[in-house]
Amino acid sequence: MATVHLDALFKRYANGVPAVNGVSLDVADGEFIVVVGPSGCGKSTLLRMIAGLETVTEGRVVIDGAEVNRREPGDRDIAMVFQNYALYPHMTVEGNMAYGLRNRRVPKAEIAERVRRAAEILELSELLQRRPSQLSGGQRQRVAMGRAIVREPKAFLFDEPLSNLDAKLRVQMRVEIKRLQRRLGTTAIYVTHDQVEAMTLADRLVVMNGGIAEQIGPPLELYDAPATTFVAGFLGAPAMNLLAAEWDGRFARLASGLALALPDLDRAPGPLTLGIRPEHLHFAADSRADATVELVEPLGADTLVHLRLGDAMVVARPTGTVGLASGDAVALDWPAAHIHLFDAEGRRILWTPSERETRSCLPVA
Amino acid sequence: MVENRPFLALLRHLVLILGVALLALPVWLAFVASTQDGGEMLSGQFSLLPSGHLIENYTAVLFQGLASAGVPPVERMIFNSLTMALAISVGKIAISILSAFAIVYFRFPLRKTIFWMIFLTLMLPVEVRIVPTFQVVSDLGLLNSTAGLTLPLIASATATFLFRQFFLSVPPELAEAARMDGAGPMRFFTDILLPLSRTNIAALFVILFIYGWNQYIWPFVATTDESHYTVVMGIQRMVAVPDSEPIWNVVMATAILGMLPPVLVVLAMQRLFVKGLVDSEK
Ligand SMILES: Nc1ncnc2c1ncn2[C@@H]1O[C@H](COP(=O)(O)OP(=O)(O)O)[C@@H](O)[C@H]1O
Ligand SMILES: [Mg+2]
Repeated sequence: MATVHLDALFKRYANGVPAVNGVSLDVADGEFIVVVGPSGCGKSTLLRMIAGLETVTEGRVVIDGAEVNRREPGDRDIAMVFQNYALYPHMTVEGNMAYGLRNRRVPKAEIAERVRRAAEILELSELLQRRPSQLSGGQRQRVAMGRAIVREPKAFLFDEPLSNLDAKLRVQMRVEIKRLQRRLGTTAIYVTHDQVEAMTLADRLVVMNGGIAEQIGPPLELYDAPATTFVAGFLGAPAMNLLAAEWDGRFARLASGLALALPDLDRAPGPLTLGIRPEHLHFAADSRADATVELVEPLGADTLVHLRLGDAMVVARPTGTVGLASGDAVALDWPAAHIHLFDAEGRRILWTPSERETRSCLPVA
Repeated sequence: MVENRPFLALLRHLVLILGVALLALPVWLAFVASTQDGGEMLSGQFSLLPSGHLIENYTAVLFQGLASAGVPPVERMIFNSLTMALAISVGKIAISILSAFAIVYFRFPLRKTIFWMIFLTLMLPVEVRIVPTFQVVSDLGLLNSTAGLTLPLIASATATFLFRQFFLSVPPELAEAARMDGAGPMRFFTDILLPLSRTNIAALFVILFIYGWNQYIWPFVATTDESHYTVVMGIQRMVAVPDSEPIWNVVMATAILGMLPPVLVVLAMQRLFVKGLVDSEK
């Protein structure tokens, strides 16, 4: 059993930079948590506070029920995989993996056995006597993983472990990390800025922005119901279309002049942000001209159609190929069930349209 | 570098040969002189080929010295020089690697100030601070002792600075990984930093050994007792004899013998030394 509990964590660096601004999180035993966010949002700082490499300014880090704020990293019984792997260059693969165990005075025979097993799992058995400099990037990554798993720690911490690999290897290692974590059942906290990694690996996702956790939940839940415009824009590629609109009690009027009926929305008139994912923005069959095609990018399985809507640009993502070219005028269909509404502060507005499946949001000129 | 014109090749070789001749000729002349007997050199005809008194001259300086100039046997002086050079280089490396370790890896009050103070002492070589240093060593009663001979030369800003630069180039994640692996600061130092510094230590050792071996002014000031003479001092004493000509063949034999240990150190450490100077593999 290994749970991690973060209680209102704050971190202010010596130079006054507030890197983490009150993050609370409960990680269940065996859970795979991914912390995702843009560069500089405080992901690494958060992870390093859990590891003990960075002091906690305020709040508590609790591992397995015990507060560890003042415990040395080596005494927290957790293992970390670094972005640049941080392998000891003068030690063999075997030495790298065994070092943490030797420092903990694990009996020699057991060290050998654990290293052997880890090497087998990671297919490193042939490479045990090599130095890190004699390994490829992917192999080094495996050794870094091996160093973590031989310790049989309470939790794994990963700080962008795949960022230094090429695209193909990254996909392969991603799958492998997930499989390994499932097999070992070890609690894991994984930091990345890559939203594909985030979506695919996480049991639960923590989306961070400016030092706070904007939303925590299962990846698809965050994808389907983003709590803020930030989460809405961050998850998904291409990003969700976010359009400023003015709600007048019946219609949401976009800057382009387009007006969308929002049935059942019970709300005082005022500004709001309207969001729709590219895959949910459909072309309507009628002859209205809502938008102009600016660019068509066929990707094979689907096509990205960049559209000009007044001053704004939106992206639609129909499946397959479409017979559209730059300059074409098209009509758009906005399925009410897939429209996300956010208030002026960017917070999600609860809205349950009664006509979920119909094309209820016909633009009105 | 990539050009391959015969004229340039010739020029290159000429320059190199000239350089080698310039450096090697004096050494050769010293060797030639050390094989002659006392009269040959003063006769005015200087041969470029060795003469026949090699063994005789060398055994004489090695085991008897030059009593007329108050110089002990070279064997004794080499031992003294060796002790001094080794103590200086080992001491300097030990102290400076530890200070650099403290400065780079620990946060303590006045860290920056201390670093700059160490750095400032770069401007104060032995020659500049010789009078106060002498006072201190003499007050401590260390004149005419190995400790007095070496201690004032051991503190080294240069080596501290070099190690600091090297430590700064070691990825900080290595220290963090070691912390996660349960290694305390000294564990990290001995298990990781020290092995990584191997080539740097070797390069510094060579440089510092030669530095220590060639020390002249300080041993001259700090020792009066013949039994503590170093080779470099001994040569000076042989040349500066009052009221008579220096006995050049003996002086040269001593010089040649005095050159040998540094040469041996360079040869022995050559591979590591070059690696330490050019290699940036971490
Ligand atoms: N050692 C440090 N000293 C001062 N500021 C830091 C330090 N490390 C990170 N920061 C700052 O804290 C913020 C968060 O950094 P970090 O946690 O590394 O972000 P991320 O990993 O999400 O890219 C950034 O603004 C960064 O500049
Ligand atoms: Mg980071």
